[in-house]
Amino acid sequence: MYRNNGEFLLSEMKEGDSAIIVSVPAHSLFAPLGIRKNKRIKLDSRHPFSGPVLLGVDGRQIAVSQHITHEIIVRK
Amino acid sequence: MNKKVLLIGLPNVGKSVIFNKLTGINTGVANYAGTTVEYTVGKMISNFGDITIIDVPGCYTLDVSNEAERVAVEMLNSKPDVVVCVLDANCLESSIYLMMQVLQKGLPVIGVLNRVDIVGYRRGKKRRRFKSGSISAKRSNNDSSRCYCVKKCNCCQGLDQDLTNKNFTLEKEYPIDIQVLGKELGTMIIPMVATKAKGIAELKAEISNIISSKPTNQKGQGFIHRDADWTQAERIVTKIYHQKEHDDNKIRKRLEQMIIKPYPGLIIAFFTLTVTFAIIIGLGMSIRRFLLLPFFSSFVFPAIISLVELLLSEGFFRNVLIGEYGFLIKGIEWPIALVLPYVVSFYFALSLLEDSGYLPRLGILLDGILNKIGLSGANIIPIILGYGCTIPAIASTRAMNTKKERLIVVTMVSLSVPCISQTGVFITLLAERSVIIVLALFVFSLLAAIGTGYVSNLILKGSRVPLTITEVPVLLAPDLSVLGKKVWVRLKSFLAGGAVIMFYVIFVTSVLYESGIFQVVGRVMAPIVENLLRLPQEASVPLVLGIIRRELVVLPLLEMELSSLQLLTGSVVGLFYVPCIAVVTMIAKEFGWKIAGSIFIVTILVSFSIGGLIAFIGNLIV
Repeated sequence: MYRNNGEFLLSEMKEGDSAIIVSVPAHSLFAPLGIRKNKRIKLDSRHPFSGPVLLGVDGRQIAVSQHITHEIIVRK
Repeated sequence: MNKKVLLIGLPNVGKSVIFNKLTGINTGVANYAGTTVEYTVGKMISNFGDITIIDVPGCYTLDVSNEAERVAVEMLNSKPDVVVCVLDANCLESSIYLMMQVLQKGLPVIGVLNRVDIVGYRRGKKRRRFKSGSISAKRSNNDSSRCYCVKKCNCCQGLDQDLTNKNFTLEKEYPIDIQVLGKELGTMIIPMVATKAKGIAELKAEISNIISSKPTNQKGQGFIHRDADWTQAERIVTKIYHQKEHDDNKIRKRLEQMIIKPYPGLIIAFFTLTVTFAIIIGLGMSIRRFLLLPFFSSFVFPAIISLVELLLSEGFFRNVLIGEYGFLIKGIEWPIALVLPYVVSFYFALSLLEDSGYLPRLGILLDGILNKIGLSGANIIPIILGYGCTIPAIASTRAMNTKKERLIVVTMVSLSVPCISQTGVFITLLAERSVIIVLALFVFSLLAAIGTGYVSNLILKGSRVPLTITEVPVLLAPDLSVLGKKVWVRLKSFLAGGAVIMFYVIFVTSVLYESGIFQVVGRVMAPIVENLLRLPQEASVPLVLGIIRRELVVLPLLEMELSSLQLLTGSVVGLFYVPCIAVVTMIAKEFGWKIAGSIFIVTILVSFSIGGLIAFIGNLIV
């Protein structure tokens, strides 16, 4: 679901897709783990039972709760 | 006054390994974030006297957004003589960011680039080999230690010629340009593979150097007035990588993906846990049956018994030594021949899981399900530690985000997770009757743990769904010598702690038992023990002992002639009964006496009511 400016939510990404981060909610752990503006991330996998979403950033793998992926904005 | 050195760095970068190598102390080491929750202090012996080394809990920034960061900032402000900043070659950006923040404090800083050996795997670059002759050229000039210093320092004196010849540094082996990194940060950077002790001698030499001469050029003054920011860190990282192409280590990558994806990850998880369970039971049983039991029952105990019988005539004193609770027999048999084998097998299996980096992956697989009971996947680690001992489990909850999560896990672990000592007794007690009872008991304990989590999630205030933001560590093959050391450390602490306490408790019990005091207690507790739980009156002794040590609720049942139903009742009571006195004290220290008291009362009530229920239903059926 593209918005006018080509931005969409991380929760709308498909497995295996990659995108560039536009904005992340304020949380002290995002920046040190590489979830920062202008970083390219890849959605590695989603887990069942509303489990976490696995992201690949700079060759590191980060797991984030599904509910917070609705607050991360990305673009192609 | 002693000189003070801080070890600081991101979580899970190997600070504790470096600490152990510098001081010779063995602190807990594992492959997941947050192993060091409290800081550890040790001593390094040097030519300038003892140097105090402090292992600061791992933190991502110095923004004081959690407990670990608060501790770290406090320690940096306490005027240390040297700060060793451990950088992780795997996540350079975050490491560099943290180091920039550390440099702003204006203290003498040494950078250590750890895990230079696995960077190739994660970053997708093949390791480069040494150029032939590069190292040997240097060695001929310096017989002591290698030097990787970027700037001139004392340990490089006489090596100026080679210093200009860039060929000899370790960097040739790895795709990171360590010299450029050092120049950018304005400090020296020592490449290191801490687990293989590479680079440790250099670090020691450099610490001594700074402490003896206090050179000012190590302060990285360029950063004092500059803001640490992520664009800077990103720029430095792009600058120091030799090559940019990504050719991944295929097998490791594929395995990492397989383990963490729901399919086949959950199947692998089931298989892994089954194997772990099998190792714990199989290895423990074998050590007991084939090694310790024959040794004690055919050599040690007959010798003790005949010696005591020779010296003492029948009566009170002889019974205290070798009678029903004779502490010379039970005080050795129970801790050493019964519990110890399972301590060894449990920590062997746990260390395999810890060092490989499997536990955080298991946490992620179970995160969604655990969310339903108010926990996050990361909480699986304290719970699994709890199957070993409740004390480290509670200690590791300190790294958790919310107090609610901590309380849920502490309640779960105190109430329904048996420690390995208890498990060892359950296995010995029940497996001889039937292995199915053992399995049933564990399934029961698992269900109870889930139930406990569910109920406490409903009762306790706080947000319902916890937030997970965590890094998945690199999957590593466990190092056998590290593994052996870890098991040895746990074994030593069991012998010095648990086993000694058990020995004393059994001694006091033996005196109380032989003097008839416990028989009085038995009559007082008869309504509960005989009427409710339908156990013999003498089973009240273990219920009193169980308050001191968890496994003692069940151990004495071994000696009583009990029916299978009574065994099950006794085991279930033991499972839910009060955690050790040490655990209650620790809960009080961490959360206050009100919560410790509630846990104490809840465990007694739950254990008696469920035990009573089993006895009641069982007697209807049988």
